[in-house]
Amino acid sequence: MKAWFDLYRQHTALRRMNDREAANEVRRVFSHHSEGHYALFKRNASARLQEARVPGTASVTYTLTRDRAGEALTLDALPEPTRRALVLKRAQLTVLLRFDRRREHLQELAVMLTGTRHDDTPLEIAVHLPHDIEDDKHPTGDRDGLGACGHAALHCHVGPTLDTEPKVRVPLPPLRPAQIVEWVLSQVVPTREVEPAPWLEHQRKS
Amino acid sequence: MREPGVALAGAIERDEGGLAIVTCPDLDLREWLVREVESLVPTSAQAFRTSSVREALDRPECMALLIPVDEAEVVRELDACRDQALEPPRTQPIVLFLLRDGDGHRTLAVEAPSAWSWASGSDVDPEKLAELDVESERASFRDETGAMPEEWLARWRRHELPRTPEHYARTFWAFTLERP
Repeated sequence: MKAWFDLYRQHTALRRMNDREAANEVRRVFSHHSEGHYALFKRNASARLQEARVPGTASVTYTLTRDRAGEALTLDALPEPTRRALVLKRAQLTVLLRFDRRREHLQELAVMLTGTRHDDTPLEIAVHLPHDIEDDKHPTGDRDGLGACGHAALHCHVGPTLDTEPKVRVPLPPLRPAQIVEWVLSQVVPTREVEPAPWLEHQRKS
Repeated sequence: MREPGVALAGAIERDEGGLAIVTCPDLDLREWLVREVESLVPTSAQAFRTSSVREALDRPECMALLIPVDEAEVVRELDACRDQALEPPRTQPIVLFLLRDGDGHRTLAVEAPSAWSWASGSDVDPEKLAELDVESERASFRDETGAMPEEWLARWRRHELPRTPEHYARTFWAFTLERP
């Protein structure tokens, strides 16, 4: 039981971040993946992470593209050996981040990938960190769901659709938004060029 | 609303080897905007920070992020040495960071016609662009979904809306536009 509560506390601690720093980290991931031979996005993808601020409040959002619809991965343009490793023929990535700038607090995160397999069946990968609303009734957060195990704050759904039963909710370790984007991309383009933490690098460092 | 990131990237790219001006509300945000530009530009641009016009001109193949100590002086210097930026031709722009309503902008407007035309419209205030017009966004939301943000959220909370990525994105936006 303790491990699950610890994870919830880690997820709560993760929320403490500066929005501009977090957004720039995400932009660097997009920059990296919109350059060169193995680009997964059209050029300048980092510029399409859009900031929007509600005047007179501390609320600031970052979304991939202005209409929040996300962006298609340029899978068709990948070189042939990489294309052979792909499990999807189409994929669209959505990134939605909401912060309380004054508190330096990540309120909500959604990084979702909608794809189509080669047999035309759909696939959804959706990482969510829902808003843990703090109000008079719930001063330490409203903690959606029944408990810290079945309803981990930072979690991922994988399936043909997000409504397909069972709605499996896989807990994730406390990863920052940029790392989550890296992780999602590495799941659908499982190649050396996209792997953000190659074992070789790890061996060199240890 | 213009897209701040796209506008910023557009201003930097508009004129290869030109002068782009990024306007910052204050010194603290200037540092963040410099970092934002660093995160936007390709590695091939070899962006580097400098406070010196001379250093910026001496490296025409690299993107100079020019962060003045004395804004007015830097603008005057740029105004005087535009020709030096033509030969050898620059392959990367100079990105000049100026404070909104600061000395740099004042000097640019009244004393530096050459630098002003050099920038030729490649100026952007990303912080201003990021500000939402909430009323117009709420109207667009109603046009797109047939519901005001509050109505949409009520349906979402009652689980009347399928959990699709599209609906997640709409709900996210409804939270942003919801009246306090």
